[in-house]
Amino acid sequence: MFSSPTPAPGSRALASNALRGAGLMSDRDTTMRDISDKPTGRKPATKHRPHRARAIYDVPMYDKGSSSSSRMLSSRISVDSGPSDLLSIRGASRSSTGTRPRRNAVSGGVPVGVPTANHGPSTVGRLSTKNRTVDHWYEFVKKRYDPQTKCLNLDSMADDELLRRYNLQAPGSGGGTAREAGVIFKLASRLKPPVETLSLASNNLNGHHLTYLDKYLPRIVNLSLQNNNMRMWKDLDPISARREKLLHLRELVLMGNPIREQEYLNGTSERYKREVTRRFLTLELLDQEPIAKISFDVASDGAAAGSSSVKPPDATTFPFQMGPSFIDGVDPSLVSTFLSRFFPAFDAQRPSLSDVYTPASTFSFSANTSIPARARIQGIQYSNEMPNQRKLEWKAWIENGSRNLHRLSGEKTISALHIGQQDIVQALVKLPLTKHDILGAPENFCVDAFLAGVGLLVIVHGQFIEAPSQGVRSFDRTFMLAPAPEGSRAKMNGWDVVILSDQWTIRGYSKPEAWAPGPMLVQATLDSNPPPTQRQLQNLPAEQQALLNTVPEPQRPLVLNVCGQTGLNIKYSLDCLNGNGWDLGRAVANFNQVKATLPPDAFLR
Amino acid sequence: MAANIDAVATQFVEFYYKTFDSDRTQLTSLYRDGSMLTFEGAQIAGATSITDKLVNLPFQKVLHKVTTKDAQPSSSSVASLLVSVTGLLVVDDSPNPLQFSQIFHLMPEGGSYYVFNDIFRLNYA
Repeated sequence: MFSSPTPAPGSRALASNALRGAGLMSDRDTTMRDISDKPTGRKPATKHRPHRARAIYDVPMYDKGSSSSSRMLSSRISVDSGPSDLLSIRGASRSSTGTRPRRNAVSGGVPVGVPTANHGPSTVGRLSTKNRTVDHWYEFVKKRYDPQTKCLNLDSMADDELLRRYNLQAPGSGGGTAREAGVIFKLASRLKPPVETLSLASNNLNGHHLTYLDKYLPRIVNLSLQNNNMRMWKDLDPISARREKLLHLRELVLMGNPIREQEYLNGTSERYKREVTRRFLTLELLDQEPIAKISFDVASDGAAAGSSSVKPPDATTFPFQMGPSFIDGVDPSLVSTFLSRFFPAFDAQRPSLSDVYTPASTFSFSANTSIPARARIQGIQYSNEMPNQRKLEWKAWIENGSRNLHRLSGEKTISALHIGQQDIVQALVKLPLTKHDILGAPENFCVDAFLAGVGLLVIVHGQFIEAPSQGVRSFDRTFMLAPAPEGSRAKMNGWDVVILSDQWTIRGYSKPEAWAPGPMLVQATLDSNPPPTQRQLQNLPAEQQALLNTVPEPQRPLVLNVCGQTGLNIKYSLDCLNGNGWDLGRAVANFNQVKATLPPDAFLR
Repeated sequence: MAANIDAVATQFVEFYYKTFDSDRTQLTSLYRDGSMLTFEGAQIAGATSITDKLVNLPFQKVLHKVTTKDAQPSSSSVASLLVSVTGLLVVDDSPNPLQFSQIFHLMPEGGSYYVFNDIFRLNYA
């Protein structure tokens, strides 16, 4: 009996037009807001990317100690990242690099699989088994290392002829465990010059195999784990900067791992990128793409300093798209006709509404008296622009039967559920007078409506002015509607529908931008991050201190200065300085412009 | 009647958010093939797709704090009910909770209820 709502062809367009006609929606609502003109927290608009990448690589002062080889990787990938790079990485393990100039990093090639002539079983016969095994591993590691590019290519180890000949278990697909991997990493730590780039592609590895990676190779800059078996976030723990691992890592490749591919399949690639950057504070390239960072590079010289007229944004975004009003499976004009008659009648003539309720209808309301966090930050309840907000009181609502089951129980909840038009109208007239400007600014309301088995479910979010204070409140209201029967009181009075159920939540006002389509707004943490004390700076959390130590010594005081003035942690202070050409004044001014958009973890605690 | 509805609603809301916050994959049992989730204006039909959607929301750790809840019968012929909830959503231990409004349309089945419609909006601050 409960058929699923079937959308009529073009019902979205119809719904939009009807809503617009009824003043419930504006043209603006049909498209997502353009996020690119706002600083957007952790998810800056794409257009910042090229600029951002350039900002990182072009600032000569911030030498993070990486050699030219790692820079070459970065610049190469940011210039010509494309499908061919994937091929070249796979090809690396098949000695297919003859025609390519040698690249310096994970996507570069090192010929493998050809044992060198001066090693053979006969030369190691006298050694103990254990030492012999270690020697064999070392032989393997040396064979895979290209000292010129500082690149250790450990792709597809199970296929390696040398390991097969010595009957060694390659970690992952060869059956080897974290122990074998540890031996390899330990031997790799003896290589000269030190390994900068490590590729572990195509080995069926999980996080366990990486247990000893940081212990022996803590300074690697580029790491490829392409085509492995990293499934869970905890697989990344052994190498995560959050756990003070691999603090020099600039590039990470996780393509071809379930942890990445699953998210891409689910369409949650942004979440994937966010989760990875959260764990790898120093990362600049992920899966061959520059990481989008907080856009500290928005400052232009003229605007940066003393632009106090620029109002800081009071919200940051959460990577979540807010949907516009939604009407489905029902003639949208039915909904807008109902709403545009109901609310004016509710405001001006509540007794007349007894026509639209039935003897079996129910009505109740509850008051959500908490002050919305963002409204509090905006200071709405004390603002001069809305002087009536401070005159609002909850008393009239609470005393007239707010039916919040979370607070009430027993008899009171029963008396607060009103059944039948007579009881309902009696309850309605006791409540404060309201004015719903349903025909006014369309962005002030959001409507969801669709067929729901027994009837038509209509959910309205919006705002109204309350008398006598003339303050503004927000509300959510849920109606279950049914067609008005022929000859019924409702029908005779011109209503197409009757209300079976009417539930109303009244709550503190928050601006309607809260449900505007587009990226979701969440509360900013304005002024909740006082600058750190000298003491805090001297006792940086270990991972922040470690990060600071990666900066050349002469630059550290500047970084600490920014931390001290802004409260930003080391990572964000570095980003901020990088984005502002290491100019302290510009960096701090820039910070003041964007501070409200920064996530809480941008700050020292 | 009201008391019974209130008890069902209270029990349901408590169970739903507890399950949501501890293991979202277990929510499947609360939906049926004919169930519909309307999530920020997007409609998702069927228990499996709904659970998929909920499991893949962009956060790892979540905690619902209910501020208000209310319940009413939604029909005089069927013992279905409408439960409306407002509250706070604490995501990944963020100090800034998101605020939500959610309406459950519950249908009786055997001695228990399932979610026929679930309308969720993370839409006010």
